[in-house]
Amino acid sequence: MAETSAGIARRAPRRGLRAPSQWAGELWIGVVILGVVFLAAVIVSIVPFHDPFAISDDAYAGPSGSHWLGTDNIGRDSFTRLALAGRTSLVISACATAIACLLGMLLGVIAGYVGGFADHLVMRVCDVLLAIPAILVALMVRVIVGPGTIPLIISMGLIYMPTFARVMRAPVLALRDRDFVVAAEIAGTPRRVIMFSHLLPNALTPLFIQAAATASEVVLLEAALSYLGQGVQAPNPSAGRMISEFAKFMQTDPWLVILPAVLIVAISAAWNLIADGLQATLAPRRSAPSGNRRRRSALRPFVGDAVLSGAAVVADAPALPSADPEPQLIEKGTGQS
Amino acid sequence: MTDTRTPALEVRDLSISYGETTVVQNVGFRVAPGEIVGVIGESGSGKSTVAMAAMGLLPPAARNESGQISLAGMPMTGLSEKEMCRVRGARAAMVFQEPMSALNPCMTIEAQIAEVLTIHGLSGKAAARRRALELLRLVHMPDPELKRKQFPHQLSGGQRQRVMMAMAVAASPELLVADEPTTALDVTVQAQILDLILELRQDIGLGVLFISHDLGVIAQVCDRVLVMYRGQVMEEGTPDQVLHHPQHPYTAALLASIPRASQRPRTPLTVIGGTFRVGDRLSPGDPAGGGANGPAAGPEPASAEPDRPVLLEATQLVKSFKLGRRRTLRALDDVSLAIRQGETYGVVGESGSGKSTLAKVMMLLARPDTGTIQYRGSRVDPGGTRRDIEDYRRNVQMVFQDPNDSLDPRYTILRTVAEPLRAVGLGTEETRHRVERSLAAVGFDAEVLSRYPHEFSGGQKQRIAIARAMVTEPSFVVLDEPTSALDVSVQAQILNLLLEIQQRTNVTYMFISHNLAVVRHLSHRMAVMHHGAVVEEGVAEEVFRSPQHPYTQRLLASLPELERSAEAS
Amino acid sequence: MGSYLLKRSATALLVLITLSVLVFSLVRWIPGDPVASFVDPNNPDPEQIAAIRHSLGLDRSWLAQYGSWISEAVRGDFGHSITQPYSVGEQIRSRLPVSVELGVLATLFGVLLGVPAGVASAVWRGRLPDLVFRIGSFAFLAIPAFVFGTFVLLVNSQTLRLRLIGYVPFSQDPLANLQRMVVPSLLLGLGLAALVCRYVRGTLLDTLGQDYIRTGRSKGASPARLVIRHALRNALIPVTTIVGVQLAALVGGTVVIENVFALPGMGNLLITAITTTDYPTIQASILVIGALYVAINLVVDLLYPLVDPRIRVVR
Repeated sequence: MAETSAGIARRAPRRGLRAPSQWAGELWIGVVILGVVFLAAVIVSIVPFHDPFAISDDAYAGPSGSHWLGTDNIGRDSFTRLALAGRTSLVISACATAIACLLGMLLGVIAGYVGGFADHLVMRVCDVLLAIPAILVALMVRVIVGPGTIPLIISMGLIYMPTFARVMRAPVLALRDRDFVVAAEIAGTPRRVIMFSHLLPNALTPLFIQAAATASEVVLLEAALSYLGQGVQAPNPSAGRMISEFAKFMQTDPWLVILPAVLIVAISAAWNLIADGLQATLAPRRSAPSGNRRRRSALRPFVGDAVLSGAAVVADAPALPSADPEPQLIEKGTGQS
Repeated sequence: MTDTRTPALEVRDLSISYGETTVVQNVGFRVAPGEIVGVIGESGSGKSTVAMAAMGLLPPAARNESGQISLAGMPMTGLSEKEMCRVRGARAAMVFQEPMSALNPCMTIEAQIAEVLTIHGLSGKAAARRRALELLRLVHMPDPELKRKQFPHQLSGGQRQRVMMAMAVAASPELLVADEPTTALDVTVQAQILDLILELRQDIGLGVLFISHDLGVIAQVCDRVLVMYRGQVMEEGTPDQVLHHPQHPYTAALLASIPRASQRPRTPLTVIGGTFRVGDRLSPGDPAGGGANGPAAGPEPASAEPDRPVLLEATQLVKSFKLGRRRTLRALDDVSLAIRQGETYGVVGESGSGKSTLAKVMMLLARPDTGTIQYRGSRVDPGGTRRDIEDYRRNVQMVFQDPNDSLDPRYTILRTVAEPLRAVGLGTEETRHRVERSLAAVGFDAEVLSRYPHEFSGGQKQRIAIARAMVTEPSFVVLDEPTSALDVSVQAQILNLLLEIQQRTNVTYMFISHNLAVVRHLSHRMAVMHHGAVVEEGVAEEVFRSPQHPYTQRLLASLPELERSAEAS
Repeated sequence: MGSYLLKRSATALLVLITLSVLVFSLVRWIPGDPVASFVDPNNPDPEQIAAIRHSLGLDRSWLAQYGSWISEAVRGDFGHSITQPYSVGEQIRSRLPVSVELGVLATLFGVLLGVPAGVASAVWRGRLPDLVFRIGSFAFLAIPAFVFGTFVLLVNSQTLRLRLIGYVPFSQDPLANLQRMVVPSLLLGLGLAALVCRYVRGTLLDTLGQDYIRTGRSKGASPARLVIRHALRNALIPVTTIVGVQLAALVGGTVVIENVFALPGMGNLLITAITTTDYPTIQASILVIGALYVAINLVVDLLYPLVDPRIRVVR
């Protein structure tokens, strides 16, 4: 009964991010928006057309060949300053999220897999940290360390770390009792290897989605703090502070406020779009109305066994719709205490 | 069968498709009032689609290509959703497979039963609640006064299925559609629910469409049987005709693939092969034919010779779990057993009997509270020496119930099968060589090495899992319900494979199952577990022939066996 | 159920204690002498320094300092502001009602708008209402309340010219109070509503795919009955936990929105205090805002058993 490729039902594509053609639309839009902001930031960093801090007499200028988006109340180039504000926002959101994600991931895997006292301790600490409004933690760090970009990154990394620990722990807990992990334990695979080779890769999808969603929250929190004067400090450009500074010129020069507002919304929305897109691409549950998810569970046994017995192959038949309840003959009641 | 009464359900020439795939093709049958019609088939046979069609519960993507369904003389095809709502629950009711998830967790039992009556305007709220209590008594719910105020999570699986039955008969429907109603239940509970269905049929004159994959269950309750394969009815008749004198080759093959008492234990089962069409006839002398006439039964020559050396001995194992503050569960209660080299030791028990805990303790995945385990005479429980334990660990492996769960979806087949070799510490070349050899033994080419589990069917995955267990050439393998998640035809392949490996390598198995027929087929000796204790132990054939313990007797009596119906007829 | 209530209350208490320790240590963690900023660096007056140290309680052991600080704080005595001529406790008593009103109104708006929108979105999945609510919730998630508020003020100043800024106590003029409060709390609530809408949509769709919904259909329940009687309650169970967690963001939002609309609330007090490095006020405001959040969260969690019978009835 040797089996060759003809005997295997179908070489189904593996779900993943390797094929951009399979990306959900949201993911594309999000990546493009962040790409544009990033590109603008790179351009003004490498080729400084204008000194972002240089005060000139040319205040409140409209868009021109020299000043693409005009100038502000003291004649600084708006495009340059917005691009730098975008850079700050991107850097803070990416760095803070990366810190939170790495720390949280580690804590979550350990808590979920090791269990017992370590789990209890980590989760209680997370509960407490999550129960303190993020902005209060950020303001406390600001009071202690002083305002600035680095304290912002550190405080936000701390603030969002527990979320990641939780997001990581839940699938690890579920995976820990899966038979393939038990099989690995029986095989004598070291715990460290089980954690990072079996558990982590299978639990990454929710982590990625959470990371993008968190980055969006970081953008909004940084903007809010800067708006309150407690975030990025003058003269470094920040979209949040631009809005509070230029609010008084709103009647006469609304663009001074509109442009930074658009920048904040665009970056935050882009991260959210990436989160939604990752959800749709990596975990196609609700977003796939054709019910792809059930294809394997409902049709698979039929296809595979039909092939096995040498019968006509219906492998390429379309997926059975999700609600078809053809049962697999699983004796669910035999689970043990 | 001629019945002049209006049938409870009449299906004529029904064809249903999903997109391009036809899942039900030209199916027609009648269910008379008070008659139980069974539909049997493996996964993908379309039997559940027929059940859903009868209830008008097909998903939107399903297309009704042709055919009529009429319920008690009333045509149902072409009814609007609103009209269907008036029919469902009132004239046709349904019981599902999963009692755990089929009840609303946020509503009391009483409210869920009473709802059927109020929805259809059959009674007021107060009257409906009184009727709910009567119905709970009708389905023999223990302590109905208390249970009606409870929520589903406070009930056992069998009790939930009783609630489903009470809901189903609340509005005195003409038809009950039962889709694998006992598949998720233990055999003793299954027997109770089957009795209940028979009783209700008698009392109410209910027509029942009974969907099942279990030939024994079908033989026990049904008046008539339809055999479905790939969306078509292959054969139809009384259980006696179909299950003992099958006319169609598919039915014959299906029957031959099931381990039976009349077949000699540990001989290969027939594996279903080829394609089947409607109208095929069984030719005399067909190897798959004969239904119940498997290879002749006879005394097993090498049946558990007592002189085989003991490989593994467990003495007075106790393991308890804390449930809440005061209650503890004794999952293992003074369990002692001895497994001899080269034999298959069957362990039988219902859910909660402690058989999986026993497996875990034997695999050193859980520590026993007290008791010892000896492997080749040295202690390997936590009290043993490190060297002995390490040596034991290298010599034991396990195969699990659900092959979808036991293979890491992100590991290639090579990495999966090679995993136990990591501890042995071989080079890349030698590892690959060993993996290929192990895969070849279960029937795979080296070509599958770079593939991922999701590319394989359930039966194929289980063979890969067996290859992984066998790659280190272990002396002892625990098989924890290795065929429970598989169709009978695939089960036959896996059982044959396990037998073949044992004959070749002389490996020792501990075979854990709730399926008595399979244990009987595979085991030399066996133990029966109940509430954490071994209540009976002995040579498998003898335990089955003359069970000593009352629980074993009860267990065997509740087993719907094809043979028994044959004897009765 | 009793153990659930006890557990939740214990967690809330633990959070409050942790927060109070953090807030208390705040002043001690600041690099350098916190007193240094209040005295003339060129001509330090030892007596003045000692007086400030004493008023901050810095001359006693940490534990003793914490003990007296927290026992006074519980009684509402947060000491005197260093930079402003007022008692911190009084300030908080006058400002807390503003923040509480803002938070409660915003929560109400969030739930009352978010749940129906989520239900409509799930029920009419893939059709126009779904599209509208999904785009709407997406937008309100990405647009921060202060940006929205700034533009509301801009548009208002050009068109309706309503009085939106400032505060009138409820006891003084309920109508004027609500007129001033409705816009900021609605803006805050919209962010919460967007989240609630997304979660309700997701959980309701999940719930509608459950086996017991199929059972309900087989009983002959109408689609409306399935959603309202069978699905919604089960779908709201996970949403309650999420609302609880998201209230943290909402409480944080009050800090910002109070500054946009010049509402004399706790957030306004906190930001002013940080700008003027008024430590007693900073400590008190953070502690009170945190406690406010813990209290709202506790109330939400204690409502949880009402929704989920599995917590109410222990097996």
